[in-house]
Amino acid sequence: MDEGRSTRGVDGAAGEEHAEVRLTYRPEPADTLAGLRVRERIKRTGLVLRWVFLALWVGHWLFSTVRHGNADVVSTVLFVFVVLVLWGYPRIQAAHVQRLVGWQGEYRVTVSSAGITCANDHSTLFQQWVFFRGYRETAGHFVLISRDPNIMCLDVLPKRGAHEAGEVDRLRALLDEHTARV
Amino acid sequence: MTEGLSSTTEDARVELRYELGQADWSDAFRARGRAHGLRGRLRGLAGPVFLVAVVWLLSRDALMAGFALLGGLSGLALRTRVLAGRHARVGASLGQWNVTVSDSGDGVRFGCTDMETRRGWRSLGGYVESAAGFVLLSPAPHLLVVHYLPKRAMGRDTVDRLRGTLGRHLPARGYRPPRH
Repeated sequence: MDEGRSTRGVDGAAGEEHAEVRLTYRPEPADTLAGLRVRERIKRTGLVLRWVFLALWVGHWLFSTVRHGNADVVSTVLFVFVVLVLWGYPRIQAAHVQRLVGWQGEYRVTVSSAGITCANDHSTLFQQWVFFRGYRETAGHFVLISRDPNIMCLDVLPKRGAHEAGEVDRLRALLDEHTARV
Repeated sequence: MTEGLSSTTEDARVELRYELGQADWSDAFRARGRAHGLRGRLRGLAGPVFLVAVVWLLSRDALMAGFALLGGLSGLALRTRVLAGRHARVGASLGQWNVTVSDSGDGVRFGCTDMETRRGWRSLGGYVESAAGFVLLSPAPHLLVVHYLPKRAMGRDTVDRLRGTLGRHLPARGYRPPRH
């Protein structure tokens, strides 16, 4: 990687002593769902489109019902289906991601001044802080978002992965030190 | 764009440096489409077919259904371009990729200015070769694009060595003989 960089890298050879927090956990669909929700709220486009789409279907169903004097069966079934799809789509995405990551077993994440290293038995990913635009904290997770406009990359750090007292607070302090709350 | 070769009895390595643009990602996603075969392509038509069915049920109008089919098929055709464009925009901010493909358990390492990834061979589900590059895929059944290795970043010898290394560790999917 870049010359002169004081980073940990995928080999885990830290160039200098850093305060660090370690998390160990097995990924769950709820982790991905938390990340997707954060991304949706920050990007807003998807959220707005979803509500507009739903409003159009509600309008269509109401118009059809008023015009015919009773609820049209086809229109009602399609409306219910659309509601189910809108509700279920993020969950389907989360289940999809779970199938991709779940088989890789335990994830070991190290958050340090150098960046974030995520390793399992099959792969390792190291990201410098500059890769991220910022983070948002939810009840059970810290969600880091990449700096590209489409937020193509999400790092979800579940708080359940912290096994020592005060580690969540130390993790929050590290995140505040190196990236912004969004 | 440079390449490097190093070889020992235990471990043959191919090292590459390159930048990826929209044309590269387009090639990667088109090649990935071949990896899914006919069944995958038919599954991809499910969306437009469903759209046509919905429009027909609501409008009972063949012309509307025809427009919906046209719209759905156009969306499918544009999907690869949109995906490639998104990846290219992200890639542009990441800069040059440094990639090492190794015969050892290390597998593939690819990194850029802000990040570095090591993928062991078991974390990959195969590769597809196109005329312009090699596409590394995630495990089946998803076969998502993990990374793209453009042939323009390597000489013909390196292409053969890389094909050999990938072939020893990964199944070739949707194989199409390369054009030189």
